[in-house]
Amino acid sequence: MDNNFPLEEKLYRAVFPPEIREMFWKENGKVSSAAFLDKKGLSVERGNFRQDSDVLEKMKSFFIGKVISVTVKNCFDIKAIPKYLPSERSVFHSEIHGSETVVILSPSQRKVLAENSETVGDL
Amino acid sequence: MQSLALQTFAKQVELFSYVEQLSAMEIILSAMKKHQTKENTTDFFSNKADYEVASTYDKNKIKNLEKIEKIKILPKNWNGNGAENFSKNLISIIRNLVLDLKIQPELFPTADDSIQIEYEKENGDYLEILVSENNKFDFFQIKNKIETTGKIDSSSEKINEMIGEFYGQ
Repeated sequence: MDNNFPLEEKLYRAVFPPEIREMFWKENGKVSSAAFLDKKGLSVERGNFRQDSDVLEKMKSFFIGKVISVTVKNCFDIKAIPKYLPSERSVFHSEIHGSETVVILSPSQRKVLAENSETVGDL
Repeated sequence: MQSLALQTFAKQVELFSYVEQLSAMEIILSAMKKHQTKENTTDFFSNKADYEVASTYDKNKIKNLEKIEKIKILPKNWNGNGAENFSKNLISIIRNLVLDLKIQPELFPTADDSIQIEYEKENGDYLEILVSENNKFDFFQIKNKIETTGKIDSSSEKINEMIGEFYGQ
């Protein structure tokens, strides 16, 4: 894996806090764009074309909460940039940045990502 | 008038949970604080505006106050990425705002030292305000598919105005 992200690749995000799983879900059943706001950078796990179940199984070892996914195309469509940032914890760790120079996503980018996200499962 | 209003309100409050009752009491106390004067201190519910606040028992407001209680106790690193817990001051700001808002939003914590309030219409119009400890709050609005971002004064009056305009009131 490198910093090239194919358009169809999925990016998975665990939505905390696990204690109150519905904290970020709206009455209409959609996730709020607030779940995509993190001043430290929006952490995700890149799918690298694994099965959802395999990704969940792996994430289960270090996350709890609901898992949602967006595609790399969803990011590129709004000029957001996926960055491959493997860590000691996970070789799949990545972040979605607002641009090449801005870490935080804009409100508009967050809203589009929230609308296009899919709920994958619970950890 | 006072007695009738209290009895009516008490009956409504009985229908809700303990936490909801506590939140309901906060609404009353807030209303009392706002409208209380030397002249009407002992005659709170004779004030029509106060009675309306108390008797217009807003379930969405209660729901939001309950959610704020949940946000208040989120521990440090609640998002798994080092987010701070929410300051007492920010919790106080959002509680007072919720108490003052004429139309209740949906609200969500963020990992950016803010609490996001949202309004959304079926036609896709959308209004989001990031409530923080700053004097001005960031907002993002989509109206007739036109996106606008900016800052708004943190006063409840200004925010109520913006929400009123969003709903065409």
